[in-house]
Amino acid sequence: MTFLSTRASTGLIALALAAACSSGKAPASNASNSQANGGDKGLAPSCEPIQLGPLNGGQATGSEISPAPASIGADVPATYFGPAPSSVNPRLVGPVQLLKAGPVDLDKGTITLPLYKGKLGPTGQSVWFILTDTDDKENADALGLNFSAKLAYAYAPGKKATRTGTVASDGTITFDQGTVDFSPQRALVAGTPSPFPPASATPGSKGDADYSPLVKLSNAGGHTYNAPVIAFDVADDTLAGFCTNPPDYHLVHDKVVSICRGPGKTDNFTVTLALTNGFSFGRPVVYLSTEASDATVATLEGATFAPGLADIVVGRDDSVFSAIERLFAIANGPQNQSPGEVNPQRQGLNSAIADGHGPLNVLGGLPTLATDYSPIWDVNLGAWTADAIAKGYRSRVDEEFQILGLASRGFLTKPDGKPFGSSGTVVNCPIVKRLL
Amino acid sequence: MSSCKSPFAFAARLLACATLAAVALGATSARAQIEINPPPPSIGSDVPATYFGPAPSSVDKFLVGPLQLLTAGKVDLNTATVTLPLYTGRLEDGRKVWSIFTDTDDEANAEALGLNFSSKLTYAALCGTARHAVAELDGSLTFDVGAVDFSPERAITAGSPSAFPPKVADPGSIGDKNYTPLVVIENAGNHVYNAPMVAFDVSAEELNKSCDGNADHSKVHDKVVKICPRDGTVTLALTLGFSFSRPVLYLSTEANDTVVAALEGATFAPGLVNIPVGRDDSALSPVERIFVHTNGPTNINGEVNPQRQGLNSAILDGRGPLNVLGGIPTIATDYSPIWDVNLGEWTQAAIDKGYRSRLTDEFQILGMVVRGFLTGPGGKPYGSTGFVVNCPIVQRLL
Repeated sequence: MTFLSTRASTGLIALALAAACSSGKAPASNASNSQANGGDKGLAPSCEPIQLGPLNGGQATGSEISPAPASIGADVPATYFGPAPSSVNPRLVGPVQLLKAGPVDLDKGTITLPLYKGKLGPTGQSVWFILTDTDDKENADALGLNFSAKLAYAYAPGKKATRTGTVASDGTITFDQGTVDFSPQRALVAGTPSPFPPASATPGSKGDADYSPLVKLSNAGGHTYNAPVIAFDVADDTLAGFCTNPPDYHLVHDKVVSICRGPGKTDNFTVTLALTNGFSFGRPVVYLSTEASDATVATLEGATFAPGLADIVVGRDDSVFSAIERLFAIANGPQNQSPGEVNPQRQGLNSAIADGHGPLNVLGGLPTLATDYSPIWDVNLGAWTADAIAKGYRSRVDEEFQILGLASRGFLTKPDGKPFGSSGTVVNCPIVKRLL
Repeated sequence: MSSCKSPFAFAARLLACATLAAVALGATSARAQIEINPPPPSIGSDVPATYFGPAPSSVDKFLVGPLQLLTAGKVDLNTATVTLPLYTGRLEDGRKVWSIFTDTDDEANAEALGLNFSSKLTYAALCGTARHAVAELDGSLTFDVGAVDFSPERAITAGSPSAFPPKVADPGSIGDKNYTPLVVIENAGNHVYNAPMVAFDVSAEELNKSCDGNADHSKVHDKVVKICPRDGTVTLALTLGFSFSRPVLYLSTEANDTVVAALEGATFAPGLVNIPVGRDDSALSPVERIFVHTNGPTNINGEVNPQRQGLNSAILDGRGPLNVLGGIPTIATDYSPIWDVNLGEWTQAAIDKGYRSRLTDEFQILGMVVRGFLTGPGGKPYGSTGFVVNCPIVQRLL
């Protein structure tokens, strides 16, 4: 049993890093990143973000999910190939940045977004947040946010799934409720005999009973925005210190790599956040992971435990008034087995703990691939049956219907052997970029 | 030096070839179709599928969901067939030519006729690899060259110790040295059409005997299920595969090698021998890549292995090889019905480590190649075999 204590969140599930930290061994694909390293709670030097290699830039093997150059096996070099089809139409195959509110750095596995300052109405405390998604289509396009029609279904009177707020005349948001305590120290004790589920898990940040990253505005058309809180009740000058120096994870979200002051007003900031690797319909993607409705999942994700999200109704997928889309996680996918070699089939939570890479979760629909995107993901946790493993059927899976097909044949079930389906937990994971 | 390949150079690559394809028509059976048909989206949810919204592809064809691409005819997913218009024509000597149209580089008429648009076809007629034809006033075509003998009986004998490569592989139909499914129509904008021949030098009366099925494969293409000049239709068996992880159905009608043609249940088309390969999506390249595996996973104790794939599996399991196509319309810009066969072999080390699985996406495959887990046959560098197959895309299942 290993006790892990780290505040670092990486581009992958934080659990992966925790494992790397526990062994003192950096993930194979890591490279130095001083800004993300060295939080003030004893972050080991090896706990660095897992980085993504450049697309088709000759270093495809540097990242676990970066597509190989298209010229492999061809008689002409990539320079003679036409551009990616996605450059002609973003719905075609090829790299597409979906959350366009800020630049993505694939080498570092990060995105840099505008950091917004608001306040909590009852107390006047500062609320620092990002904007990632909205059900306001035109303003989503205008602001470079993801459009999600399903967010219109996330608010219900008397429920805490969505906060309420009002846009003030100066363009800031006054939130009616919801605080986040970033002071806890994230801690995880691996399970036994399998690392997953962990024996114990303490998230690095906790919202109060009313906290949800979603906010429904009383004006501005009454639309709902995804506005994850990055810091709470922190002074401008304190945040400004996290540009060149490591962030203080007692004060900010675990996914923060840096916060830098921009031009103009002293409270104009950008925040750089670590991304997570995954797949959607066979396409490699990167996304943000900022909140979870369950404390253990929040710990594993390096996210904020957001109790308000527990009011989100799960299990109804793409039916009317369903606010969620499905995310497929695998408990016991293939693991690395040869020293120093990354198994090209590796996946899942046991693997993430054991080898220090991410779990490579599979997302359902995304903008440009489907119509049913929501940043609020209903976690469907699957486990390969002993029978499927014995027959050699276990592999990495990367596509929703592939997974459902395996579930329908009985090769994937819930970890307890019950029929595959919702775990009851949701995570807030705004999509950022398709790599293909 | 001409960029067109010589037949001798082509022949020299024969031994390196380990083909693709659906072993016979068994690969196109409804049973095989079910193998990759997406399950209902309601699996694992709390509501039945009736409460789900429509497939995103019904809102926008570029989004995920089922989509018929070759819309000139009707697809039957239960029998994995497509019924297309049957076109009549003739050689200059008067012999009858029965064809289908599947693809063209004339985008506007592709849309109008429900054919696939392929800009790469413009590059496919540069090396004598297309016939020429004139559209007559009655809408029929008069071809300059190209005859097909449909009388041979297709035969395959499995190899040993591996089923692939086969010991014997005789195609069921053989074109003459000028036969290619491609045709430049000289008085219709000089556009290139994909017009596979399904019968030759046979009367409408004779073919009408197969209006309800029981096609005589000594007179028609092996993929023909029904043919009916009376109704102006022909029903053809489809092949299963993947493109960028989407399950798809396609036609497979010609190959430029006899072994490949035999495995595909296709016509051997010598006229395609000179088509340039290996240059994928670069300028003047007429091909797109298709990825085939020799030694993918096979079934275990009679149970359909959800990972099964490849030529050994096709022969041993009596199902299709589940090849992986590169770009198709609505997913990419680089579609061509003329597919450059890239044949992969899992290394013994990869197999021993348990890395072998079904692959469904081009870049997933290329990633395995980069890491050395997939090679060409016999450990040779991965890439084109030199062979092409004519496989017009018909339908995305997802």
